Amino acid sequence: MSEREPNLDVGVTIRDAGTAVLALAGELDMETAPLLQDDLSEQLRQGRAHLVLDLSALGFMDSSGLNVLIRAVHKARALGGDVYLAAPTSAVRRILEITGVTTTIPPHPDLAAALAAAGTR
Amino acid sequence: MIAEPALGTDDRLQAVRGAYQDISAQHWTEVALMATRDRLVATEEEAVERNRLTLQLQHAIMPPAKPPLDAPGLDVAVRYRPAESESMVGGDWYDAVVLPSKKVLLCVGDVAGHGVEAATGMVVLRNALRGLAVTGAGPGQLLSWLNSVAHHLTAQVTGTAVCGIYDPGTRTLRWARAGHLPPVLVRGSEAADLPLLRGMLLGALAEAEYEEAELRLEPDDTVLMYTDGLVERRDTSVHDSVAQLLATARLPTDGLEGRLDLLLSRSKSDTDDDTCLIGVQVN
Repeated sequence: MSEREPNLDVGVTIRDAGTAVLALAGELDMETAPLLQDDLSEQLRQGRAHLVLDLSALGFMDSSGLNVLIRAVHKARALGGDVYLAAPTSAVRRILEITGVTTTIPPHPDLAAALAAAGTR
Repeated sequence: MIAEPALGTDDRLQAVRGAYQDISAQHWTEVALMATRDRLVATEEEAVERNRLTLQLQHAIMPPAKPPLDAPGLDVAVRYRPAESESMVGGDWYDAVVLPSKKVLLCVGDVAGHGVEAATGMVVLRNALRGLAVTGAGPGQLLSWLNSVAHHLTAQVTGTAVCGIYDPGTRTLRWARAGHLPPVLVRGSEAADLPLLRGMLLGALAEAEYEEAELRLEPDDTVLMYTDGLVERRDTSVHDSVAQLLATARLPTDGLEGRLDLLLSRSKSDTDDDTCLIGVQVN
């Protein structure tokens, strides 16, 4: 709702020329989804198409958040990269399962596994 | 500008002392401010008008309640509750219609986002599904086609839906889901959600397949389909919210309409999302 302060922190770490880790903390919803969208677009614009999302501190995600993820997957894959999800909380994991997103973006149990899948360590 | 006379010792006027300030800049600032206020009021009025139209559009397409359906052996009731804040009017939809085959199409769906865009996407998907269902295809195939519609024929619309085809002759419900919470079966004093069949949300992939299941209903069984406005809470996991919904669904009620009203009134959602709820009971 508009009266609430946007509650999302995105910490960006550049791993290498093609890979960025975005650590999300808070809630990914209609209010905050554009923030993540901007960060993801910026990384893609910089040529980093392997996008690792650390979800370990993300407590809530709604359909606006899912939409940002899906758009990022399409863009990243078109550029030869991908989106890797790491350590979703049980609430977020459940949303990913219900929406079937886990079939196209399988979540990794932890950041190390996601980074390994992205080809960095 | 202010001025005052300065008198000499003989009380005669010697000089006039004064001070002045050029306030034209301030004047123009005030004029500009007033013009900005006028524009702001006009913009606010436009936004209010836009929200009102969205709500009107949604009501025209989907009345908040529905006249009874002429489906033999099946009572159908629906509830549609718009978001309280008009700017949050979303893309939830339901449909319940008797097909030429005398089978009944039952569905609820939810297009991501809010406002005119979501409402428009909702209209596209709802009407597409109606049209596709006339072919007599099963719910899995229907959702697969609907996914193509969402992916190729709309501007980046994603959404979720659950779709059922009920055959009154055999009392069977075939259903599939696209990223949507599965229906709930109320049988006697028991209520359970149906399994999480494989099915990706609509519009995300160019092609998607949807697992189908069949449920044989017994007399008095009730099946509920709903959108997440009924359960979504920030402080509670979906699992717990659904558990609460099932607890409410187990309560004895005076008929199908009463059950839907009870579910809506006990809804614990805190996200001011719109909500669709459809219930069918074998009579």
